[in-house]
Amino acid sequence: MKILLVDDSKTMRNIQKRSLQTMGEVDFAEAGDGVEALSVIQANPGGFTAILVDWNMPNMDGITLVGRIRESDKTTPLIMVTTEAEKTRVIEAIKAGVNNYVIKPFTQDALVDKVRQTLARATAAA
Amino acid sequence: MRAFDVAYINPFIAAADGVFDTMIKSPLSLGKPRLLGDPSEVTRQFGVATQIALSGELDGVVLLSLSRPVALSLASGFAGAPFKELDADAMDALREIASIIVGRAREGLPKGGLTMSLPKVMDRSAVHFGGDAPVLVIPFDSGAGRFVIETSFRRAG
Repeated sequence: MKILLVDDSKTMRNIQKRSLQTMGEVDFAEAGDGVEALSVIQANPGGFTAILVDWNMPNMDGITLVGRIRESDKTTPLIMVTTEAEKTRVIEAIKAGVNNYVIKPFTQDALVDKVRQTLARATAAA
Repeated sequence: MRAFDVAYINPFIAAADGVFDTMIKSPLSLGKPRLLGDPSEVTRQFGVATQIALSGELDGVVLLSLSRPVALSLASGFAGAPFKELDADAMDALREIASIIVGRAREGLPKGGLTMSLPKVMDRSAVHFGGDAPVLVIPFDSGAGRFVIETSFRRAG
């Protein structure tokens, strides 16, 4: 399993890594903003099992990144991990192509459950 | 807008509670909110501030103000790794704590759809709220010690 974590906070990426390592063997790639994430995606033609994306980031925010990814990739599970909890924002993210949504703050179990749920849905749809 | 309105206090209390309960795992109790009089009463106690600006129908500034020992302790608790100094990683943790508190509080404020700036960590003494909007101080006692959330809002335009 290979997961890309996109968040401008290194601390948050580390928290997510620690949480998701409980799922088994996971290779992580990281990016601090949307621009860096697109470079990482381009450098990994094999793709990712899932991509976790923060919303508020410098240079390119998460919602723009999701749109850019979905221009060429309709299937990689994308999970927004953000403080943006207003209903209109959640709908905006889903319309942009997000498969699941985790609201910060979260517990380790909540994050793992959402990722598992997303991957199970993606597998069932394949 | 009244200077001392619970609608501008309660969202920050709920958001801070949420972060401490789920991610810092430290008890948190609320002190008595008050209006800031002499700024030195805060700067004497709290050397570090994480600042986030809000804009939209309201313009606002929110500070998470802490002493260095409390900043290090909360950053360590959040990151799950002990910090000995307020280095780049510790400041990153503080920015994320503030970002989550303000991000979540924002949805409970009377005016929705506010845009949030990226957080920055600075010396509390370098913060000047500007304008004549009152500054509200919301004190909290955590397992690591006391910190305050300071807010100042005015109608935009």
